[in-house]
Amino acid sequence: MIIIMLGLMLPILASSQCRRFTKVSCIPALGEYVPNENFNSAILIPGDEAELMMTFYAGQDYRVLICTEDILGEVGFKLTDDGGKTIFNSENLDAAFMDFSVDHTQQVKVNLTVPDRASPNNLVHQGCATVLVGYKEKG
Amino acid sequence: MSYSKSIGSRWIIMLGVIGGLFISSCGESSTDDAMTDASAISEGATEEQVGRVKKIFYAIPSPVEMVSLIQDMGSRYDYSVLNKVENRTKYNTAKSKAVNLGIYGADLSYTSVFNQNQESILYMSCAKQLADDLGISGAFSDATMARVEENLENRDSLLHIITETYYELDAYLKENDRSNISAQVITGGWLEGLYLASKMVEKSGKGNELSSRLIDQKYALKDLIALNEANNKDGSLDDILVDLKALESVYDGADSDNSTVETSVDADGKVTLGGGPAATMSDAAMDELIALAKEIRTKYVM
Repeated sequence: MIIIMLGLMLPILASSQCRRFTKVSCIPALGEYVPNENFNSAILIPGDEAELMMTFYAGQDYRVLICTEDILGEVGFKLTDDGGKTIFNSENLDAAFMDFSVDHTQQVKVNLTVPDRASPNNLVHQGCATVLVGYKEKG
Repeated sequence: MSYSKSIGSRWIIMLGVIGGLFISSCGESSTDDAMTDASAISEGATEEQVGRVKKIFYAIPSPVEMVSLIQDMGSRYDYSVLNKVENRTKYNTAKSKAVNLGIYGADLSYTSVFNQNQESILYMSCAKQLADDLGISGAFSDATMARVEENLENRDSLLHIITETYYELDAYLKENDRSNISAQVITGGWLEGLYLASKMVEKSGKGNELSSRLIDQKYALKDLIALNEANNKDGSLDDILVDLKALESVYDGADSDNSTVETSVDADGKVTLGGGPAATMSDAAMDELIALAKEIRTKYVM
């Protein structure tokens, strides 16, 4: 029974780990951008996908930051518009974030893909992935 | 940072496998809710035990951003439009506390953006008390309250503290399987931002930038409805969904073209998203929206 109880607690511990990881390793990378108040983090495994829908207001400057634990490898991401057209693709970027300004208010989708990889012992390792959106305050 | 090193001792992996098997035997949910899905996957589970479900997040623009836009467009500070601090004692249900925690958060953002320090302390205190009532006091710790008081004169720092506090609160709720409460808080914040913007449009008149931002809320509303639907497993968000869909029906009257987004990069490397849909709304529809925003907000704060 104790083992089962501890087993059931593990996902909660993992989730708390994700919260700490985001606070310590991700939010500071937003720099001067004010973070959005929504917690958009999940425990992912190789081959997983995640997406975030968000509205970006006209006249604002934004940073979209993808923050993942090293164990997940090189997590790819792209931004698409409401019609599915690709706006940004991480293949063309050196950083794990994108800074941009917006002319017209619009909905943008952020897609994350964790690279799939074979595991020699058939065990799957998991890691935290967070999508942060910050906007720049106008002085 | 290596996650596997931090929790990766063998006994934990063993327990994870057992935990994963136990959860699996109870029937893994096929919902799209990110936190629920994520927590169902345990370290060390084999590939056969892991069901793949795409995680979907719905991020709603923060009230701080909305009230910053209100200020940027030249609106004057008006304390009378905010939810009264003495209303706090009227909120006796978990739902009314959660929605008004979001509403007071938006009001706190408004007072802070306009550098109204004394009011900011009052609204921070209201939010803390509602969070305490809901058993989520961790985000409004004594240290946080002290930071607020220390940074009252520093607007940018204060805004960062407020958003971080609500971020912590949201994270706590989601990791403790209380995503329906999180949705209520987020909805309250968005509704108050909509109401404040609509009050400013009433004063400034239609056809300006502020009324455009009010129309633009149709996009955030779409995500907000999806967020509430994804977290309404127990029906606790039924009433909120009725209200949000009433607003959506008004927004359905807004015209919107379907041009695609065009990306441009200037000489300094600054990227701009141009194009995209542009929504417009008749004066009659705008009046209807303003009236409905007031009606719904009044229902929640009273």
